This record gives sequence, structure tokens and C-alpha cells, in this order.
Amino acid sequence: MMLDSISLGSSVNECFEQDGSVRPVYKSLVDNLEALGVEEMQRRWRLAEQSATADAFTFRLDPREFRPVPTDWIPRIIPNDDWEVIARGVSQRLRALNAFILDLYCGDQTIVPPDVLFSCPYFNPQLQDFRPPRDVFVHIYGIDLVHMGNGRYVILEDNLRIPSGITYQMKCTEIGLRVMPELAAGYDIRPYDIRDAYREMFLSLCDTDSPTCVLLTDSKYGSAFFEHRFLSELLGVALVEGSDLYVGQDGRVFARAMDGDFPVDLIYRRVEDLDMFVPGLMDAYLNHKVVLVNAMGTGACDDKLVFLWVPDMIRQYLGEEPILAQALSYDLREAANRQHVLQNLDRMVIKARHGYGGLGVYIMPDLGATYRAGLARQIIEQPQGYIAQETLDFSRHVVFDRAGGRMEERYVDLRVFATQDGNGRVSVFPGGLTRVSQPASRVTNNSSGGSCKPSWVVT
Amino acid sequence: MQAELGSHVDDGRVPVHYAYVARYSYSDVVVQNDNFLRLTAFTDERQTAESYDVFTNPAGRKVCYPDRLGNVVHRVRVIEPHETLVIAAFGRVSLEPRSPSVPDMPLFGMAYDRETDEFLTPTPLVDPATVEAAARDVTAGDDTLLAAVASVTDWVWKSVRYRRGNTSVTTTAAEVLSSLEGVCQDKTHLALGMLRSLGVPARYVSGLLTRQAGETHAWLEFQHPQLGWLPADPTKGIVIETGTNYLKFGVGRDYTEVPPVTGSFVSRGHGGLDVATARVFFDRESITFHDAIALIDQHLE
Repeated sequence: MMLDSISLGSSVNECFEQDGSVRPVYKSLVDNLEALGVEEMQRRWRLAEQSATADAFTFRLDPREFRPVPTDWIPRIIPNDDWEVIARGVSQRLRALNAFILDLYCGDQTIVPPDVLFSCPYFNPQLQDFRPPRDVFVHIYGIDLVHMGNGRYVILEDNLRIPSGITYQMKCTEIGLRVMPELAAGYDIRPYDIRDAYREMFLSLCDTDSPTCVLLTDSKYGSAFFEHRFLSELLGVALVEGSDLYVGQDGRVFARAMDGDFPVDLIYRRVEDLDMFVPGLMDAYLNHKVVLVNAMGTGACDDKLVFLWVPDMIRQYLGEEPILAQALSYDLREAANRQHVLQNLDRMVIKARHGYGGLGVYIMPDLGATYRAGLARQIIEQPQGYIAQETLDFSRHVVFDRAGGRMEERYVDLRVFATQDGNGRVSVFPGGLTRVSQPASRVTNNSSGGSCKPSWVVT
Repeated sequence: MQAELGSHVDDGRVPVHYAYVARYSYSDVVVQNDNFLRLTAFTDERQTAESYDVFTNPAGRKVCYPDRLGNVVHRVRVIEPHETLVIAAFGRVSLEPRSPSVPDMPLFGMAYDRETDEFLTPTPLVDPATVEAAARDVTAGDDTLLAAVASVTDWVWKSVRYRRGNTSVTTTAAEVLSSLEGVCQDKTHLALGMLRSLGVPARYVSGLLTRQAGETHAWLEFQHPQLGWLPADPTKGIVIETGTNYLKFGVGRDYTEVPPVTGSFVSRGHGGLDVATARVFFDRESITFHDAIALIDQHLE
């Protein structure tokens, strides 16, 4: 059996028990892979890659380079019972974060210390007392989880500004099933469809029955352009760049078109600095001339230090206990925490407060002593610039090394996406994007060279 | 040994008004300008901020909050397109001159509050290890706190030539020690590093000289185990200034934690500060932003 060749590390493997036997939920999949055999798998892997290339399924780190998203086509399987807990936990967290941001800008929040929030570059004084349509700030939410085994998932990070990846899961699962339909034999996979939720969301946020919506991309050279194009086709909304939009005399936003410019009701923005792309857009937004998805101001909760207070937000705004645990994190501005972290640095993850895409994440057990000394110094010099988390020994999965024709073990995480519409309805899409680390690393972000896997929620 | 006290000692509180203004010019339109201002009088046992405000032209939205060290910070974000930005701060402060008798202490083995630990460790611009040898030389023979502070302050005052233009906001204490020239900020960093290397917690102070119009000034405060933070000015060679010559805006472990203005702007062009000046008034009943704006013209005359 080709799967015998794999050597298991010490942490949980999603596919295998500690003694090397296949976990029950993976039995059919392993049988299906065995039935294909190594050579056929190599052929299908090539086919799948060609499909991804033909569909321009890319995440481009370098605009001069065209390459499909690196993908391992062995799916990750999440039993529906585990999924239901994740979905409830994500929904709860989204509602608490939205309540917090509303309180931050329109109320008098007392949960997070003011100097933490107001010094955050993503806090925007312009938004004080501004209420977005239907009081929804968080329309699209991406949350990074890791699996500790036995269905226990732990939160590493929240992404509320312009999280990308909601279509990657969709596309990579679709290509996988198209090229290797045999793998699904014996499984009932929950469908992953975001269209209705988006349509409902757009409608519920606008005053008109048939709103004109556009997707604003940073440019076709941006890293996530595949997703922008794909979403625009999927949702039937025009894809525009900053130069396609302008603010008219009446303060409304217009899009340029060959057959006459048309007014825009809603912008699904995939850019952060609006006024850089479309001068005057922020004013139009503040005057309720246009709806923005996500709303402005959500970035305050992307601050990795604000993360520490989310459990308190859940308790205060919802009166509930958090359903999902989050990674134990330290506020390094406190002398006692700083001392604890410096003494136990070799088992910590250090994160720059305002890093994203895996940049500014330092996993100490994977780094050398020189690196550790340098970071210790950074923490002493600028304690307000970092947070620390206990390193988690989260789950690994198997990936197929096509060239070598054998299996390898890699760390995986899970980015789950959820949306919230103007009627307060939250949709959490089954599965999410499983990201795979590079060898000997725990960082899984696509921006940092990670790859992805299809994810199935099975009933 | 009894401390050498500052020369100016008054009784009672002295109400003063201050005004600060800075003008930034850019080569192209700026569409977003987001700044953190630490230009408001600090409140401690030597002064009380009675009223204050900041103002920008073009106007922006602002928030005001205390940072982790207790400095009053205004954050102002301007999105009206502009090529020139004026930032003004003004307020009323009552200065409280003191002439404390400062008991001297043995320099080594003093028990400081754990809270002050972070004022001993390296900061981005001040690494005590890089100036320790100089500190040992300068304080050789000093075995008390006040003697050591006096030696360091006096040595920096005399040895570092006051010179503009050769240092910047990123110049480190070690660089000042090797070039032996700089402005008040550089002298303060060097003295901070030397004191820290001797085990004396010390912090950077940003503020104004009340009897000298001009830009902001920098000095330091060292920790006294009984009396808390006491000031010293290595630019003027003064230890424990307790009169009404200084007006404090804020404190930090070094300049990077308490710059008068810091922020970012979005523009195709480039640009920055073209004039900054401040003044303290002893004879005014009130103050407005017009008084602050007028300082620019007075300064340019």
C-alpha cells in the first residue's frame, strides 16, 4: 500500500490514528486512492493542474509569473458533527465582532483599552458616529482555525478587512471532483454555494429592489485577481478598477461604461485605501450615497492585539460563553507577560500586530537561536508592536508528492468564511479553505508559499 | 549630599498658556493624512493641564486618548485634499514650582519599583550596553545616585557639541557617543543610555522651554526610589529643574514613543515639515488657535 510509506510525526494526523490505522471517516477515501494507484494518481494530478491553469486559478505573488494555486488534491474530510460546532462558533464570533465595531464607532465600548484601539492604523476617526446600512460592519468574515484532534478546533486569527479565499475552496473542490470523481464514492458531501447568501446580502443592504453592484479590484496584477474575476462572474456583478469609478456632482458614485455611465448602489470592495483608488469615495460612503462591503472600519479587529479581547466581546454583547477556544495569547505591554514570554520564547509564536498573510509570524520552535535572540530584542524594544501565542501542535494531513510518487505529512489549517446580511442572518459556508504548510513549517498562508486542499464536509 | 536645585524657585502656582504650530508642505495633493499628536500638557506633581485642544487646517476628525504611559494623544485624520497641512495645539497649564529636598541614595543596590523595569532595558534608539563603558568612566568615583546623575548630565552637556543637521530622529545613543554632536534629543538619548547602564531607570521627556520660543525641547527624568521621577536636562547641564522653565508634553522610553507629531499621508508627491514653532505665554488671559497660527508669521519674520 502506498500509504504505508508515510512516516507519522508526533502531532495528530487527520487521516491516520496514532497506531497508523486509517481513521473511520477516511476509510473510503483511502480505498478509492488505493484503487487509482500511484501512476493513475500522477496522471490525474497532471490533469487537475492543467485544469487549474486553464481556469486561471491563480494566487499570484509575483505579477510577472503565471502559475496555478499549488494544490494537493487529496481532500480533507470534516465530519458534519464537527462542522456544526465550528459553524455555530464562527457565527457567534462574527456577531460579537460586529457588535463590538458598532460600539466602537457609535457607542462607548469599554472592553479594549483605548490606547490599543486608537493607535491601531486600521482605526478610522472618520467613522465616528457613522452607522453603516442595517448596522452591519462585518459582511464577509474569514477566520483561521487549526484542528487539535478529536474535533477540537482552535482560533488563530480573525480577518475582517478584505479576506480573500472564499472562492478558492469552491474552485479547488470543484476541480478535484471533476478530475477525480471516483474519490467521492461513499461520501455525501455538503454543497458549498455562496451565491444565495451574497445575493441576499447585497439586496438587504440597499434601498432599491434591483441594486447595481460592482466588485472593485485592486488590479488584474493583484495577488487575488482570480478570485475577483471569478466572483464577478459568479455573482453577476461588474468587475471594476478604481479608474472605472468616479463620484458625480450629486455625490453619487458612477461607473464608466461604453454605452453610458451608470450609478452604483453597492461596491464589493477588495481594496483597502478607498480614496487612493477613487477620490471622494469615502465621502460618498459617509453620506450614505453608496454601500460598501465590507464596511469601512472593520480592520480594527484585524489587529492581533485586539484579538485577545474577543472572548470578552462574546460574553458582553451576546451574554454567551465562546463556543470555540482561541489560541492562548499574551499582551506584551504587560511586564509580567513579557517576562513569561521571554523566558519561554522557544515555545512561542510571535506575531507582529499589524502583519497579514503570514508576514510577521515567527514560530519559535521552527527558528534558530540567532533568530530567537533578535526577536527577544524586538519584544523588549517595542513590546506594543507584537503579541505572543503558545505554539500549538495542530493537525497534519497527507499530501501526494507527484514527482516522487509517495506521500508526505504536512501541517494544515482551515480558513472558514461566513457572511452576514442586512437582516442579521449569518451564513457559514461548509468546509472552507484548507491550507497546507510547506515542508518543515507551520505557516500555511498562500502569501507565504503554502498550498491548498479540497475540503469536504460529509454527512 | 544635598541636591543642587534649579535656579528659579517661585511660590504658588503659575498659570501659563502655550501654543504650538507646525506646517507641512507637499509637492502634490495629499488625499489622506493621519497623524498622532503628543502636543498636550502632561499632568503630574509639577504641572496640571487645565484645558487644551488641537486643530488642523484642513480640518479632520479626531479622537483623544491617553497612551500606555499617560501621554494625552490626539489622533487627527484629514481626508480633504490638501497640499499644505497646519497642525496647531494650545492650552492652559498651571506650573507648580517645587523645591524639594532630595535625599541622596547609594548608587548601587537600590530597590526600584518593578514598574520601572522597562526604563532600564534597550529601546530602539537607546541601547545601554553600547554606552556603558563611557558611563563607567564618567561616573568613576561616584557612589550616590545624585552624584552619578550630575556627572552624566554635566558630561553630556559639556562633551556633546550642540549642532543641528548632522543627526536625525533615528540617531541612536551609540552614534551620539561616537560623533559627540547633536541636538537636545540626541543628548537626552545618550544620557538616558548612560543612566540606564548604571541601573538608574530613566525616561525621555518631550515638551517646551517656557522662556525660549522655538521648537519642542527634550530632557529626561530619572527614577528616585523615594521621590519618583525627577527631571534633569543634559542640554543645559541642569539636574532637578523644579522651577517654571519647563512645560512637559509627554514621556517615553525614548523619542520613538513620544514624538510631537507622527503619522502617515497618502499622495503621489512627497513633502514634510517646513516650519514648527512654539511659545509659552506668562501674561495671557486666554488663548485660541489664532495665536498658534500667528506664531508662523512671527517665526518667519
